[in-house]
Amino acid sequence: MMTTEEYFERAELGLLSTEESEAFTIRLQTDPLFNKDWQAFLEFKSTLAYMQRKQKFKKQYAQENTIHSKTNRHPFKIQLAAAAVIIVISIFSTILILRFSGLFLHSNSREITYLNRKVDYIDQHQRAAKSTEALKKRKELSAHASNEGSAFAINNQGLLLTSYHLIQGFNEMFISNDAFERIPVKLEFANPELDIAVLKIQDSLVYQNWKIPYNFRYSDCRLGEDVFTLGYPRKDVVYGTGVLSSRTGFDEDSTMCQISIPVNPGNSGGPVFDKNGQVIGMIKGKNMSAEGESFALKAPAIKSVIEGHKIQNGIANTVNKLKGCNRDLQLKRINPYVFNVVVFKH
Amino acid sequence: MHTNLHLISPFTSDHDVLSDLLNERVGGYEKFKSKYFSMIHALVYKNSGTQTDAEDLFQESLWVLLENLRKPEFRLSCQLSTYLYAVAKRIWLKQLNYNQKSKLYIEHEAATEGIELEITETEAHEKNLTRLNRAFDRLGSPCAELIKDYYINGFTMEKLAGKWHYTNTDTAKTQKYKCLQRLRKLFFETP
Repeated sequence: MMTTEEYFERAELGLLSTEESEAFTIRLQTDPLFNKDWQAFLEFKSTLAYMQRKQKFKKQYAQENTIHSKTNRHPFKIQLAAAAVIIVISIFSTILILRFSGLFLHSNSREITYLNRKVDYIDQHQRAAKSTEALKKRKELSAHASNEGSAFAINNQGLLLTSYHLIQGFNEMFISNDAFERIPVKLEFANPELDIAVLKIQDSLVYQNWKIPYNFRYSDCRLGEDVFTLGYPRKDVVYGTGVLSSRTGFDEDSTMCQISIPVNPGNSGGPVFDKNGQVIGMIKGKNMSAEGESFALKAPAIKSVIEGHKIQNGIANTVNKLKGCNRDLQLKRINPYVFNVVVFKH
Repeated sequence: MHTNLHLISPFTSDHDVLSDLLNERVGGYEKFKSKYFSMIHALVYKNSGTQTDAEDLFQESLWVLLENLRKPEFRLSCQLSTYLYAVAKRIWLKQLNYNQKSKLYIEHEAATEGIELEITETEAHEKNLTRLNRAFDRLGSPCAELIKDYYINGFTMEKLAGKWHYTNTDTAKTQKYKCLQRLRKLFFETP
């Protein structure tokens, strides 16, 4: 007497005789319980076959992997050892050089500062030349670059925040960053009292895939908390870090706070983040008579201005996706949403 | 074989790797790993996983691809790397018991959206495999080993009879079916 398992397995493998096969088909059609059992058998066997395939794969994969690590281990170790030797040699030689050239060291560093300034100077001229070239191409424009600063996205609908003093008196505005070159923007509205300007990107293709990784933090600024900024004091984006040094700004202005990040003119309009990547303010300027004292407009003040204007989409209510990740990753994710603003007059 | 590859993927740059996998060439997995492991490793590393997690996830993602390549109707609509990344992301999310909207740090987020993963069948198989393993545990020795020898390790009936000291292959066969019946029962009883 054949067991059900044997019967099913022979049917599965096509080993039934013609008569058996006919009887099997008829029974499947007439006996629902038998049919159900057959379906269960097939499911069970397919799992067994899956197990067989996967174990075979794992075995083969493990075999290749051991060969892989065996062939590669030695060259890597040699490389590592070579690197270590080079590091040791360079450390010693640096120490020796430092010991015997103390006198030259000072004048060297002076030269570096000077060179930096020179590079900056050349860079500015090159930049002016470049933008003039670009402008010549755009025949409708005849002006030269007049003012530059930073701006950052506040929602996924192409709205940007910047300082009003940057754009005051200009009517042609462009933004750019690593991803975009010279994107035209229009002024949505401005608040001169609090030095806020909201810009709108004209081309919706630019922001169609935007997903802002940060949001705003409206709770009180904490004295001594770590803050950082991204901005465009130069053509390339610059990261600055410091602490919140005072909860009020210039002349005890409570809409502002003071931060210990050294900023330059192009930083105006850039975002100020807390350690979790939440926006706590926007760079406004610095105290000309005191070094390293910068001021930022606080997030609640920005919020109240934007809400007061009742525009269709204000500050996005997004979830902050930057908490807990490394600073370099935070910057990488923020970078696409911070822009260099260039404004012209014609 | 070549026309077949063009059907599977429109990206000719992926054909080399796919051909190795389809023909089960020795060294294919190794080549595959050197090409795609760093990507999976980065995904795991940035989402609080270990080296072992990365190894496991890489292997599981490759496995999903291999299972799909068995099907003649399988088509890749994107680059292999994008597909693999999307699959890895899905498995990793499941492992972390997160939903799709949780904050997983993904680099190619936009690129992996809307890709046909063809993963549900493998996921169902995986679920059943867990049940089967539990059923094997409950089945116990020597039935479990006997079934594994025949169905997993590919023993012939003669080899099976020899190993388990059955007088002939018919006895071995009867025993094998008895064990199989018990295992099937346990499999469907296991939640």
